[in-house]
Amino acid sequence: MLALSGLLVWGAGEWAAQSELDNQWDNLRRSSEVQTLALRGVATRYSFLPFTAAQQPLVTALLKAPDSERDRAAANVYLETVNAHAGSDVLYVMDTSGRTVASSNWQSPRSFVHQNYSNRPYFSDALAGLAGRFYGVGKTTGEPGLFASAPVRDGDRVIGVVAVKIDMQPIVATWAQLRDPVFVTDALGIVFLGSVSPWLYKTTRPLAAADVQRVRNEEQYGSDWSPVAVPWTLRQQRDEPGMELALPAGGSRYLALNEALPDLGWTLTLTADSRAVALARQQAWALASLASGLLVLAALYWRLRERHLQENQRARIELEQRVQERTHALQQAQAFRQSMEDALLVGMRARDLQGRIVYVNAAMCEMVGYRADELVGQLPPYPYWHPDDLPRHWQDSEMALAGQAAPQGFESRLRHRDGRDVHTMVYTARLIDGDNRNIGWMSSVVDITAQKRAEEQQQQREAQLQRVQRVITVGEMASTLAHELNQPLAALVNYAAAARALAAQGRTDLLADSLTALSDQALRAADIVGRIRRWVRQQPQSREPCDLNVVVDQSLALLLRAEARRHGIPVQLDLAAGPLCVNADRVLLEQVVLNLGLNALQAMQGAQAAHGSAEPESPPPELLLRTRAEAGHALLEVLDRGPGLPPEIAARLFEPFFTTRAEGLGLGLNICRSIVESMGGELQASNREGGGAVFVIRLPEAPEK
Amino acid sequence: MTPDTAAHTTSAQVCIVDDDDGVRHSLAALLLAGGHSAHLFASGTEFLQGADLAQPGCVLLDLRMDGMSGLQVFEEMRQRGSVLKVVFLSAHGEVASAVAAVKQGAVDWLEKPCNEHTLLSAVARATELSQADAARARRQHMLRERWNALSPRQQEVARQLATGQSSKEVARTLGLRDPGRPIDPRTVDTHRSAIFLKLDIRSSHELAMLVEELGLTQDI
Repeated sequence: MLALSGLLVWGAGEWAAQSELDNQWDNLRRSSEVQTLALRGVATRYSFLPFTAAQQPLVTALLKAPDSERDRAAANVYLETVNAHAGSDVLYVMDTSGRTVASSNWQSPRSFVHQNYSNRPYFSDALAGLAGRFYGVGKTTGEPGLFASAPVRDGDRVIGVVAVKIDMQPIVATWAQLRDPVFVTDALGIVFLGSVSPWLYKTTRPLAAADVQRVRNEEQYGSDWSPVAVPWTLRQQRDEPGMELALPAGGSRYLALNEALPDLGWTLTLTADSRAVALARQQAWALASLASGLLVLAALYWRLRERHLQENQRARIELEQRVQERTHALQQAQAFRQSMEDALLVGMRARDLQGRIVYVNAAMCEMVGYRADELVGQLPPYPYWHPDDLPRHWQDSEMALAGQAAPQGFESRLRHRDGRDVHTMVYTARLIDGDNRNIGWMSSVVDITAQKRAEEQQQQREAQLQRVQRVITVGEMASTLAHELNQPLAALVNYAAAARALAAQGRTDLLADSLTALSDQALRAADIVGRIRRWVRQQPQSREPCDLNVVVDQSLALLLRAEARRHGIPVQLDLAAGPLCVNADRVLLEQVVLNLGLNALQAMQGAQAAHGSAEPESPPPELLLRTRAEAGHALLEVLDRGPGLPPEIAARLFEPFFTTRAEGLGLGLNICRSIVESMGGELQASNREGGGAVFVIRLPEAPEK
Repeated sequence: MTPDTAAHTTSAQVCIVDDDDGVRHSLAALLLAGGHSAHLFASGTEFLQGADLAQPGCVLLDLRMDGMSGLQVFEEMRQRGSVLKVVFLSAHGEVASAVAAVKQGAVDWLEKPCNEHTLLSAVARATELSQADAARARRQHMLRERWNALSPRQQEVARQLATGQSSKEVARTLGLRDPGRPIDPRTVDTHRSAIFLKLDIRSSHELAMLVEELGLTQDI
């Protein structure tokens, strides 16, 4: 590339140089023609003047009579007049000896009159009958000039010579206008006229000694002339019309063109500064360099652009590829997300701050039976809200929108479009946008219907088990129940007998009383049966605040007191002064108290049987029921004076099917514990100080009803 | 036996001790219809505090009560030497307790609910027995007082005489038992006369019966 452009620059330079050279040569040639013409014009313009003056009778007359002052004067005037008119320098007449007899400048101090110019070639030539021409330095004036001469004839005889001196300075002055040197050499090669005065009268080629002598004799170039070579050299250029003129020591170089003027014996040399060529070359080089630089730049730019374009292209392709990849990845992610969302069993529902649904996933739609487009845009109440739970839905929704939803979620019963109930757990979290602003709420909705059903079934099973256990408890207290029933029945029988007797005696007033009492006892019996029956059959109820003191009373009323009585064991109460409320199912709590009481009684009976009658040092048997509050908990304690709990029994006390009694199922305490735990409490057993066991029911205290 | 027996018969009391109001009142109603006026007590403690245990009569005592059980009340009555006769009232299935009670001196036991005739006859029988016991008790009391009127030496001698020994034999026995205090057979005779006079008896046989009646035989 660079080589090419170098070649191009060189070629352009050469071409420009050649072109400039040709141009210069042409100029030189044209200039040479003009200058030749001008030179020849100046040189020949006055050549007729001596010939004309030679024909003048005044001149002839003077020569014939050289001493005639009158003729001389006439001739002088004539010459002066002609010279003035012709514009030549000096016009003068010499006799055959070479002495000037008359001259146009006869009145000037440097008058030629009486001057002898016999050594001049123009004199000798004219004397020989020829027209003489000679350039030389004036002997009188010391100024160079062109001398032309013609013989003055008298018949065939030459009687004198007329000569004219022509000043060449005007033409030299025009040459001085030219930029480059112009000079003229004579036949010997001596520069005698030119625009560069230091070169004058110097030789351009070596002179023969005879020639030097002749020039000196003729005083052509002054009396003290000696040959000195010009400071420059001329060299013929190959394939060029002219030569090269080179100044020494790195001086200028010129193109030089010689134009021979054979009729004058002169050679006109015109020069042109070859710097123009060099300049042209340089300019061309510069241009070409510039051009090629531009070209290179352009090329570089092109290549750069190409590369850039390629890079762009590559980048675009890459970008496209990446976009495609990203799109693909996005699609993948989208598909992944979609399939994940679709696969999610958890319903997702996003709402804006106003509660407007902005998004639901497939699971959510599935869960409630509405399509996404039916749900999106809905404001509360949503179509899937359960009609029986509307106030609760409103409350939950407002809590969630206020950012107060419980982080552990809340249960919500929904109504599927097909009418079935869907039980869900709803967890709500903030929906945050890219600027970390809360723009809504995202809820995850977990279908817990199956779980709920299982729970319900479990609850039902538990309830059944609890009921079975209540039946068993009642069964265990069958004799007590029988006794309890027996009392009103006995009373009833007594009243009946009394009534009969009174009726027989006619004591009607007493009879009526007896009958009233009788029916009271019948009702009482029915009430006992009904109470037990209800208690046994009781379905689990929702929890409600109940007073532990009341629970103790109820438990005692339900057979426990009677059972203790049957065992002959006193029941002691140590109840809290005020109500002690817990959230519980009263029946189940009574069941627990009854069971624990029964166990205590049985334990004490066993102890009595084992030890015989009470030992004096051991505290008397008693069943102590105590209620008290302790650190936010309500406690119901069942204490006995039985044998207590040996470690091996204490460890397994609450295991199912663990029993120390032959007829026991071993479910009592296990069920008791699960009942208490289902109420958020705990049931613990320990040994009582002073002998016996303590069972503690510990439940969270609830505000009073 | 004694002149005031009849009076005691008429004043026989009937008590009902049962913590069950219905049972208690119904029994009272039944007894009232049968001509008995009953004292009602809701617990053993109340009964032991409020009833006149010395007055003969019948107690209908519930076996199973809060506080003191029927048996405990019965035991306490025995301790106090009550003349009241006890008829236990029991529920079905308490036969064992009832039997034990009867063995310890209860007149009878009735299973609730009971036939009115059974009840009334049990009450009558218990009342009779109580009155008889009361008479016996009164006599014993009298005899005890007479016995207590004897000097200790006389009581010693009397016990020996009750075994049917002669005066000589008594003197020897006492002398052997307590050599520091020898006794003369004639002194024994003197004591015998005084004893017979104080105890209002005619013979050693009577003395023997009296000593047995007072339950002093073991002390001989």
